[in-house]
Amino acid sequence: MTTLTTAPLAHATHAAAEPLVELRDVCFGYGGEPTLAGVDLTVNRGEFLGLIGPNGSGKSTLLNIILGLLRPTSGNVRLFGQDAARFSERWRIGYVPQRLSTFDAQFPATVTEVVGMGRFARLGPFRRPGPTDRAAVERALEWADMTAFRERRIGRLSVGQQQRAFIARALASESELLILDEPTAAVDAATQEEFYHLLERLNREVGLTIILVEHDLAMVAAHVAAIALLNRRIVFHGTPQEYAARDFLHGIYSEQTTCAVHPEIPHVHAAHEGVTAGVTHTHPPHHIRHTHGVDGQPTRQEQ
Amino acid sequence: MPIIELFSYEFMQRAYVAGIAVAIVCPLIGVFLVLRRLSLLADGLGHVTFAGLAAGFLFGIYPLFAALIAAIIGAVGIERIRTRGRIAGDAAIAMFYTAGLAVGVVLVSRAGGFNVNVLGYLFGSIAAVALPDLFTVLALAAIVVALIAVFYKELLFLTFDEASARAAGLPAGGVNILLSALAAVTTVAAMRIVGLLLVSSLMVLPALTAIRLASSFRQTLGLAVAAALIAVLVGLTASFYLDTAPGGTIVLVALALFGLASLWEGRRAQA
Repeated sequence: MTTLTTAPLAHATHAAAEPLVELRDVCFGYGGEPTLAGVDLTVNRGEFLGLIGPNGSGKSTLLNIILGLLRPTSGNVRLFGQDAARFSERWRIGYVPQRLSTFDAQFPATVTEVVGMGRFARLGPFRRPGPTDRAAVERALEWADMTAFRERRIGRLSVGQQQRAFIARALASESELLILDEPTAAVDAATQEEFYHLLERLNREVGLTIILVEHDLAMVAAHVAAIALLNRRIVFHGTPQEYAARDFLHGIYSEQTTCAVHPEIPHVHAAHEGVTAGVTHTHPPHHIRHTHGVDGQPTRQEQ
Repeated sequence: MPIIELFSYEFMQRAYVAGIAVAIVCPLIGVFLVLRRLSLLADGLGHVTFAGLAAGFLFGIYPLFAALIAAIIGAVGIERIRTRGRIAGDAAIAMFYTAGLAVGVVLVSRAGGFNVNVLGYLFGSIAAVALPDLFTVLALAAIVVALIAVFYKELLFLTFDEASARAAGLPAGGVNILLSALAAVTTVAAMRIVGLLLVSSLMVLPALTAIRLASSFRQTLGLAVAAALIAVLVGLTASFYLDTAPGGTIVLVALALFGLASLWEGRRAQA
């Protein structure tokens, strides 16, 4: 079993890529327009992927399918090489939920108690946490730099600290894949940077595979190794640099779209028919729609 | 009368023993219900239980047994309707609440109307805790405490963050039904002391008090039990001397404790 201390499973040393998440032609929807229309996506061990999609792109649905909370209407989902429907070791996937949607700030639990929950599924029914579990909780608290806050009530911490506590919970379960759902919504820029830095370290030093779900490309471009743009299907999957280059070329040839991604300066400018818009909550990104509309194919194949 | 003489009455002894059991078990369930926003579930269950009780009177079944069956059916029913999502959780509870009361009233009127016996169940009656009732209450309380201990980690995780707990693979559906069923059993255990109409308050008020004061979840459970024990012991004793209804007296003490906790928390927040 992978532990945090022995875990530098450097992905670079893997001769053959080991897929942790494989989605093949995944569709979801009941009548009308489907939420997901043929998603193909593979995430290998050691990757740090930004999964980007505006609201309504099917992001949450896809996330819930990977987490096993929803079943796709059609298509194939494999987790850790096993059929998702039969995959029982769900604790191998650590989940950091969108904070505001799930937990109650009045909840009377300490940080240690919350982090300890990371051990529960792994323990299985009828078993109580023992020394091994407490040691894993300790290590997780240290990694997330939360040891000093361990006895504090979770709801009385800052949002940034709460996020670190949730990361620690995922670490305590010694997950191999960490999925974060818009973790930095409602935190300030400095806290956000700090948080991404922690994720980068976990990816590099612990070898944790990370899927960071965000609605805004600009927020993650400087931190992740790869991005996948979702708009009911994966319309782009590659490095942020490739994305910038692709859109640059696209802009030259079509003279309709100009787009630049500067990984150091996380900003995306998309000018399309006189409209300038970043990838935001309210506006579906023009370049995604545009690309999608031109050939209806995932852009990865277009390159 | 000095307080020591109180214990020489056999019915008071039984009332205290049953009261202590109820004071331990009600808040343990109550903390989970309050934190899951299911505070009204206990109220709904109380009314469904009344229907079972009335059926027991009418058909000559041991009332506590009939009540238990009705409560568990109600609990599972509410949970299923709630999770199917076609009717909102509060509406599902409201439906069972009124249905239970309606069925109960109809059956009671057929069984001879609201006599002292029925009122004793509705509002609690310490003089009425017969020995078989006491054993039933103790057994039910023991079952609830044991099951909470066994499923503590599942209950805690699902209460704190259901989506993550489900994603981690915990059996959410089963644990949710278990919690409802335990609330039903607790309702039946507690109705003799505080009465069906006031059962929910002994679950909810000590939990609310503890949530204000505690710094950890374990401490919340401990403080909630402590608050309920104080409420039951002070309330029972006071009801004897003041010749008031025990259920109402107990709930008023629990309410006073909640008020004190709120004041204390308010002062602490200012400091």
